[in-house]
Amino acid sequence: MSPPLLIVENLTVSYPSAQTPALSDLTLNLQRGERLGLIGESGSGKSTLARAVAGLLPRGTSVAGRIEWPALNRPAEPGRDIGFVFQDAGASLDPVMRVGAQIAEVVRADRNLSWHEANKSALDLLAAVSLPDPATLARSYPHQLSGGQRQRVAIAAALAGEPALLLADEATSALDTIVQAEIAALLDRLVRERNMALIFITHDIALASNLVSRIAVLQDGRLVEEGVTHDVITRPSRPYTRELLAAHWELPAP
Amino acid sequence: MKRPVRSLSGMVGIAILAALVLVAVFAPLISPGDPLAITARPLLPPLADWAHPLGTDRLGRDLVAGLVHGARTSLAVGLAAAVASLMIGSIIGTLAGFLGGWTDEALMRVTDAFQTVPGFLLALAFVSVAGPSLPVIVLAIALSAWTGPARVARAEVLSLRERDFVASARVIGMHPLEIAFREILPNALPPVLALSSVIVAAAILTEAALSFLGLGDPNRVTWGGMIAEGRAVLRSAPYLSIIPGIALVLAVLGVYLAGEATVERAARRVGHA
Amino acid sequence: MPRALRLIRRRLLTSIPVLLIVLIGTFLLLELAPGDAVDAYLVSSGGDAAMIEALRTRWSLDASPLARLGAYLWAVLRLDLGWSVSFSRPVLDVVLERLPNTLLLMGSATFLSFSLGSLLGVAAGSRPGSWRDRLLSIGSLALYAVPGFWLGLVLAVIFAVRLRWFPLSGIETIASGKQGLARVADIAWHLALPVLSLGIIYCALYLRMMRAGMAEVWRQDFTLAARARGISRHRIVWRHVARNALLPLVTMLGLQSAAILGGSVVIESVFSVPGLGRLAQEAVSSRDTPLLLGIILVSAVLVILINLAVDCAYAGLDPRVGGSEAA
Repeated sequence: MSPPLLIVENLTVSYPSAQTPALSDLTLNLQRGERLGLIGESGSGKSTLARAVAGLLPRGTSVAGRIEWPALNRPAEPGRDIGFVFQDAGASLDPVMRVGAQIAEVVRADRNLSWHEANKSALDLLAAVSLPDPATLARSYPHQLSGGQRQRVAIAAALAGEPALLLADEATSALDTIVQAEIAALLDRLVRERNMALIFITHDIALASNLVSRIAVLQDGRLVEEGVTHDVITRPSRPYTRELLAAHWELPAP
Repeated sequence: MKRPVRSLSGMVGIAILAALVLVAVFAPLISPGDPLAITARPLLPPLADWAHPLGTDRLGRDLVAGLVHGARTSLAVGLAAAVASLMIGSIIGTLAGFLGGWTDEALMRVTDAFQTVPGFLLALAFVSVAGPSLPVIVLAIALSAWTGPARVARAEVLSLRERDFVASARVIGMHPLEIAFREILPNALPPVLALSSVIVAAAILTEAALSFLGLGDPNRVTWGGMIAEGRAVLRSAPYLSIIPGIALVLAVLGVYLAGEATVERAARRVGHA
Repeated sequence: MPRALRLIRRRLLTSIPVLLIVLIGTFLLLELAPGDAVDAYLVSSGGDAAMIEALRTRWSLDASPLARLGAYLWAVLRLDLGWSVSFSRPVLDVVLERLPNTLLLMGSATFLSFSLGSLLGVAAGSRPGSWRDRLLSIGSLALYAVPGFWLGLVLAVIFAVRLRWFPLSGIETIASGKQGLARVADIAWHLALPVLSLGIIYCALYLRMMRAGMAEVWRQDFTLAARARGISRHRIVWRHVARNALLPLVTMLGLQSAAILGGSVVIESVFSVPGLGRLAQEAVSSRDTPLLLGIILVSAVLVILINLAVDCAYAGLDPRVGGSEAA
């Protein structure tokens, strides 16, 4: 069996101002091309885990434990090995830079291409995330796009470094239901076509269940349940997971 | 990591300011007699005679006496001009924000007009037409400094206008102007007052520049006037211009630092509440 | 470019009432001043009682204040800013003659303060809280407390009197007969100290704004997103953080134009630069009120024009301005 892509072992993370650690003694691993759903309420430590994996924790944060990338044989580089998609796509784009240039800049930084090649590659990426008329769209600014279009642009920027892992942190939560489903379908297709691993972070267990093969449930910074998606959904072993499931099913159908 | 340095600079500011106020208040005790009187031989260099540690000017007037009494003028003008511009600014800002509509539009265009004319030129013209005396100078400086407080007060009043306590004042039938000045203005004041150190500092600098150009109160010693006086002998006795300038820099710096520390402390208090 | 045109039209429309208020203000100051235009004219040209009456009627000085205001506005509209006693020439001619020198001084000082200030601001703001940052912040605050005219005198003592590197006063060597580049170099040599004294003080302002702006931008998500995408720190600092933090500085450029014009009054006096500021001081000392008010009026128009230019520049730098209808 080939070595796993990512190993997280006994990870504990504490922010300088907080009383309790944001993550305690968390162990997790991920195979190449595997899809993992990370579920939990807000404040459960999902985003901290994502940022720790991507190396984006703020300075002054104390980190204990190991994060290793056996399949890479080196520490992962942001952009080149990990594509990160944020919740608020509008805020994750520079408001005064054309979106084409923002993607091309990532291509250039991660793949050492010339500006000319990077610009061409940016157009391909915009087409890959199913945006119509990439040439025109590349010349627009973030504020001229819809929320769904912005998230597609942000996904294109995350793909630009051809990473082995796509990390989507509540990437669909800020969107309305229809667009949410479209973006989820897009992620599903991209991960399959490009043979990437996916960590899909959400509080919406139902949305995750359509997308991932394995689910990990976080509560108060601890991993409380982990298993194959079908098992976790049909036979949750923890009351917390049952609550998360119940909270979803009780919602009126859209 | 940041706080100790910040509060240290705040302490330095308050210390400078306190020393300055003491000197200004006790000027007649520290340096009795008329600071414009001739007390020694002219152009005595600094540190040559312990009766006149910083030397004398072209006419033989003591530099220390000038600095001590000049502190009075600088501080008095700075404070008075700041009080005047804060008052004018908050009244106009409150009226504009509270009344809205055409009044607001008209008052804001007036504010624009005062911001379009270079403040120093306006002060220069006003003093030149009305004649140089302390009240005229104070008014001249306030004439260009009230626009900042007016804009801040207006913005604050706009955000307060729809609050519950204003609505309840309306319900009990308070007169609109009474609501504006007794209910809203006091609540809008803190951010306006946060501007005061910057305005005091700018007023001290403007007064100095006016005096430097010969438009200060001729019956008072001013630091700006001393700098101008020393200019005539800039080649042979540069200390005459440089020393009062250092006093000016220290005074303005003291006001800035103390003001920054006060605003920061106020912000922290609000943050904790 | 319809976006820029819309902006220009809006700015010009709001400028009309502002200019009108400025005119009423200068008229009031003119009324307040002792003596009237005829007295001033007679001082310089002489004349008998009949001529005085004729002039008073022609210039509507015997009319009601409102009619006089009307006459004043009508005259200004025809670009007639009155008669300068001390120069025995029309005010507008004298003012326009001095304007280029002030524009040169202001422009160079603004360029110096803006470029140096924003660069140092990037140096301070690229690593908030570092020693470099704290040193620059405290230094700029100290600089902000320095009166420009005094800094000018100190620089003059050091570089003109002691070291003799730069001339003490004037804008160019008198009757040197220099032409072309030699003349440009001569003027630059004369303006070096005035530009430095005026520019360094405002440099502190831009430094502090840039630093604060960068701290603000660092807190926004897209800087973290850029890091997550593997963009180098150098590029994030310059291309994203500094670029976004620059926008409020550009606005400040317009707001500060009135202040820097006021500041040049004193600096021109220190270095005897024959510009508007020096002219204002001359007008004050010779009690030439029409000239002084003419300077104020021209300065106000200048400030409005500068703000117009700054608005256009801003629209070019920030795609979000006024573009909502176009999208």
